Amino acid sequence: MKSKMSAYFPILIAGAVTGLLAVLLTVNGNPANMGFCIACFIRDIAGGLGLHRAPVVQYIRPEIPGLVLGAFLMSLFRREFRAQSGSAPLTRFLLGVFVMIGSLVFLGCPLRMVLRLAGGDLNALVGLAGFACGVGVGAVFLNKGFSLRRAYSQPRSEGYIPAAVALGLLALLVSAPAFIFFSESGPGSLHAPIILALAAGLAVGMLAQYSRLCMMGGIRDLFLFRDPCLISGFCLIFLAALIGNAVNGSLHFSFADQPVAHTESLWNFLGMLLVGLGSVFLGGCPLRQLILAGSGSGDAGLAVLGLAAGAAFCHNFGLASSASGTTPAGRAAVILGLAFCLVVGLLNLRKK
Amino acid sequence: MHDYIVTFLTHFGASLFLRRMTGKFPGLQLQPTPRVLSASCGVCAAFRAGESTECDTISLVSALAEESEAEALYRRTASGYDRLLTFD
Repeated sequence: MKSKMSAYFPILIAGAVTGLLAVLLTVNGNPANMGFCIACFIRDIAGGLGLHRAPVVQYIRPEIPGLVLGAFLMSLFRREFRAQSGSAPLTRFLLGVFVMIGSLVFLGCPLRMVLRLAGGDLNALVGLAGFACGVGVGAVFLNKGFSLRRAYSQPRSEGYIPAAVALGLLALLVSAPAFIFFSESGPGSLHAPIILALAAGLAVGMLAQYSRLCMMGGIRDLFLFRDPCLISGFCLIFLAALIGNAVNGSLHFSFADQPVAHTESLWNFLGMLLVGLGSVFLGGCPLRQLILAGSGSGDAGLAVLGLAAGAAFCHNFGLASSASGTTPAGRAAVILGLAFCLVVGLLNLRKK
Repeated sequence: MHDYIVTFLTHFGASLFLRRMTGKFPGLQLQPTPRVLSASCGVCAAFRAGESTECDTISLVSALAEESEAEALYRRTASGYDRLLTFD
């Protein structure tokens, strides 16, 4: 009983703190139901660096470097920092691209999906169903022998690169040189103070490394082992954000007129199906990829670069949805992404 | 009887271990790797074996270690886990 309590305690704390910090960030300037969104924030950073030119989503979000640095510091403190890579790097990069496309067709990563639900956005229920189905399909592939094969040890300096890039992004944000873009309107212009956003990112990064918080892992463990430990973290994110939104007066249950969301259920479902399946193949949701990258995984670092490239493609090629709905190119890209994942799944089945 | 855990570098390795070792260890099953053993949310194999047969247990696990991409073998104790072998 005691060991079960000690297994659940970190993940429950991590979930509760993440949910409350998400609401706090929203109250202090982040877009509604977007206290944290790994996909949206990486998309904003890609815009801030000029990788795409959508003027309303350009800002170097300090939460992302904070998450990476928090995981980096916690992994060093716990002596769990391991510089490793070499597990199908290009496949992981492309999976990252398509996970981002699925996220931006739905308008949020799995973490924002839960935060949208906690704000009363019922479209996120459809997304959750799609995400769970994607994880379920991925679990079938795992049981059939899917593997991107093992990673290998690398020089320690290789593992420091994500943390160094995070510091570089913070330097660019604070120094604001002329070549960095800052949105003057739209979601990119809405943000919490830098110090608060960075502190929240650091805290969640540390807690997520310590607790292994992962939406994909939670549903996968539930499907494969009937183990609810990891998913309990996301249940606490939902509950904490739900209570925070209720207290804050920003809890409105509906499908229509939700912030940074659309009501096309089929594409909300299929977008998150793609995210769920891609996340199983990557071994973690976008949040988890950031945490693993900070902990020294070059493979996760490549997946994050794939997410950033995917965000640039989304806005350069008109794939991203908006509050008015999906685009024909975005719908085609989701179908292409699902086909890509099926091919990757079939090509990487190993005989037991 | 002691409780043992084998951790793996891949999910595939754990599945292969389960398939090959079913019947050789009582109560062999896959489960999420305990947090105290790994920062990654991977899969491990858990089983029971007698203290007198620990050498046989180590031999059996070692024989399949490379093919199953095993990382380490642990024995559960009252205060946690003792690492018996590291394969990688």
